[in-house]
Amino acid sequence: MKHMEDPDAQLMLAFQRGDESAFAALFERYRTRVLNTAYHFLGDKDSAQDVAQEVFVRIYTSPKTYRPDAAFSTWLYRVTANACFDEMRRRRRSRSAVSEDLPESILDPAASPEDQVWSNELTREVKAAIAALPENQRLAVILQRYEELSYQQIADVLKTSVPAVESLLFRAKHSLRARLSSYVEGGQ
Amino acid sequence: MDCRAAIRFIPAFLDGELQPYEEALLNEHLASCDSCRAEMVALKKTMAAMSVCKDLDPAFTLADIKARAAERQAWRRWFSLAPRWATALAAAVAIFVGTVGGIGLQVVHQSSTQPPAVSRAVSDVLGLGASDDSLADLMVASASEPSTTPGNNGQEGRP
Repeated sequence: MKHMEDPDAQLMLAFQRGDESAFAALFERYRTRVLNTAYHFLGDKDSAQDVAQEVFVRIYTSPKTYRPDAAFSTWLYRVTANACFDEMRRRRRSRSAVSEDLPESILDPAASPEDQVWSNELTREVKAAIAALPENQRLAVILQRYEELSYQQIADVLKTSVPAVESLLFRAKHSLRARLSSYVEGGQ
Repeated sequence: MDCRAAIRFIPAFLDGELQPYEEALLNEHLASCDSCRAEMVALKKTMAAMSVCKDLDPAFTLADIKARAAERQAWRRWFSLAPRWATALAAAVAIFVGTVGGIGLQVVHQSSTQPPAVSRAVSDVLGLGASDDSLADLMVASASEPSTTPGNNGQEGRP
């Protein structure tokens, strides 16, 4: 019960007691984060939208699986991670290829065509570099880089230790650096 | 601190996750090591490049989640009732098989003791056709003939 002061944990407990508006508040607060965690992990939009919905359906249909011995966000990222791992397993079983989305970079729309081409190429390469990481390294780097979780929070999500997270991130970041060096060091 | 330890510390340093004493040791090393400094700059640029990926906007609403959840709960209810349905279905199949099987056996038994006219009807039903009437007659006739097996002395079945 150590996370009773966590307002999201309070909302989740209220939802467990039948308060639908508490679920609506949590959904609004977290749906973009859950979606983008799934998107960076899986690499394609359609699967990410589907997996993010699956995460909230799991929570809606089985609210009692949350216990306030973990922060709500930690538990939510764990549910998201499990849904992503399930999707990867499903892909391996069906050997289905992932449809490659057109790269969408955050470049200014007024950028020159050359900058746009370079940015799209970099986006594609970054996505490929992330996709090439082992699943635990990939999840750790996504939670750290995009979701801005601390090493302790990542350790809680992955149910591991902080030194183990340091090791995962060290290996992940050096793989990314090696793969992206030609773009980053020779790029703009 | 040597280069090996410094390289190990650089990612956590960039993430603000080092203890103050570790940070002091790393800074001291970086001040005198060009190669580790270059490594740190490269890693920093790599992490910055990752922000080129655009975030997605959710294409689903709370109503979508509730609709999917309702569908799943309906399936769960169905499966939770499944054992009772399965028992009822198995009982119905057993009664059906017993009834149809019993009637079938009765028909076969009666057909084997009927005169040739009935045997023709049986052969028609069985699809043997007119050309096989003699065969059906033969079957019925042989069933109504006295047995010649040892033990009854050829007396059984005589008028």
